Amino acid sequence: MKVHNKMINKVNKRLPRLFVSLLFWATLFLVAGPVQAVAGVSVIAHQSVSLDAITAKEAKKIWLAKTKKINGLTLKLSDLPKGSGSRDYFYSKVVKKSEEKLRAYWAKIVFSGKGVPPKPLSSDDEVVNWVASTPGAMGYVDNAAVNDSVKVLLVGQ
Amino acid sequence: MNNTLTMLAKVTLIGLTLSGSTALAVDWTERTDVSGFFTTRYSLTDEAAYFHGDRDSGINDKGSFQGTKLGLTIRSQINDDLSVAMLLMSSASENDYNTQIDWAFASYTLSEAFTLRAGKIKFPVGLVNEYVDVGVTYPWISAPLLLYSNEPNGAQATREAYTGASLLWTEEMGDWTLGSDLFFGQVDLEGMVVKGLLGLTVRANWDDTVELQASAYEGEMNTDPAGMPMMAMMNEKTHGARLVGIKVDWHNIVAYAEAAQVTMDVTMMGTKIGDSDVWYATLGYRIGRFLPHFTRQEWDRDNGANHSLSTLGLAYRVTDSVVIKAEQSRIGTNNFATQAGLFNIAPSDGSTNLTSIAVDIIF
Repeated sequence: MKVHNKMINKVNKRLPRLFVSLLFWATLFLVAGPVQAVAGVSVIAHQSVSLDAITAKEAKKIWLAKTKKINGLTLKLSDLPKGSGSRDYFYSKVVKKSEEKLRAYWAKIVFSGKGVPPKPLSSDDEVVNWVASTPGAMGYVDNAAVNDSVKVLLVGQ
Repeated sequence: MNNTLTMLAKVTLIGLTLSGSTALAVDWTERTDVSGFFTTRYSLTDEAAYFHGDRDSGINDKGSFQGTKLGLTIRSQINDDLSVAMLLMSSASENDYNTQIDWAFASYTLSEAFTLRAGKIKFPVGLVNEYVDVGVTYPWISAPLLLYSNEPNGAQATREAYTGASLLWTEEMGDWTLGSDLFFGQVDLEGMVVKGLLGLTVRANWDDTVELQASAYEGEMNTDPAGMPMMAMMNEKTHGARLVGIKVDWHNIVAYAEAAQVTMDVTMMGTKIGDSDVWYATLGYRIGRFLPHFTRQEWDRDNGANHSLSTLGLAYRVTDSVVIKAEQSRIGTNNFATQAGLFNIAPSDGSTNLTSIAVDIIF
């Protein structure tokens, strides 16, 4: 009986802490949304792109339109929507630019008539299909979305 | 406006001819991009004289929406190497919006390093001049007025756009992007055309963190020799400028500094009355979505006109595409009794307060 009371006291003491903890995680889940499990992204290219591999630095230059051609072939780039796990990973780990700086970067190029940002596509599968069917096309997708129809130039971990 | 439209039609026609007939069969929605910006500004001084404009557009103690504008950029990729781009811009005037083609040019990629452009092109002088109407791209409500103003009485360091051609060069060297813009053409101003304009801008950019820029240009002013004496004096005289600038965007620090020397070969009583020295420096620090900043500007013209401007500003990023800004400035004027500077008439005091708010949107 004594042991039982001790246990009840222990649980009673821990209940508020448990409640606060649950409340914290529930709030975090509601505010941030479900965490997207992205192990990494792959940079993919159409078979016409005459490269077998690129570095993260080279990928950054390509996605910031500083490298526009590879061996005379004009590159066509794709992008994923804001909030997509692959996009968040790619721009934070590879391009290393925040959404704010990225928007300002492209605004300067677009509103001086010097270029346009990568083509926005809605999902990893759409990117894979578009890259596979468009000469000179490149994209980044979740590693799991890659298939044999495209070349893989860089695999993120 | 008609000339601009005719020019745009010619540029487009040349583009379509060069691109070959197969391009006509292409779905243009796939190759054409449209982006826009909108800015609304309200400014108020404690002075009855109009600052930076006249009764229609200037700012005084009754308030002004000067700088309110809507812009649409349309860019069409005709083939891998050829594109045509234009900016259609509508600015608030007294009772209406004035719509015009701000710039329109064709761009041809000669190689990975070289691009040739022809048409009406934004003046590539000044760190932010090529996108000076797009408030989201910089921390201020408007780019520092003393250097970027196109008012006839101002420093005249930068211009809105020139009609002509430009050769762009760009090269990647490690984390550095080097570039240059060699441009030739003419600038049409109110009552004056600057012809035979030749200029060069060189740029060095380190990983989008540090940007260095230097420019020099020169041309010949052409006015009506039988017109107003002040304008007639400028006919066939040389006008030019030299500018240097640096921008730093490192972690949370944002800093800009630019200086310009403007020359106009017009002498009156032994003084080159059009020559100016102008500079500004800005320092800001990002705190989350807020960017507080301070700017100091000074402008001295050899005829005695001068202003200094100290501005404390705050930009709040609502989203990546919407920014709200507020600024409080003090305009100092030394020789206000004899030289109005950027006021339409001499102000009543050597010190004027200027308060501004703005919302900048891109879409």
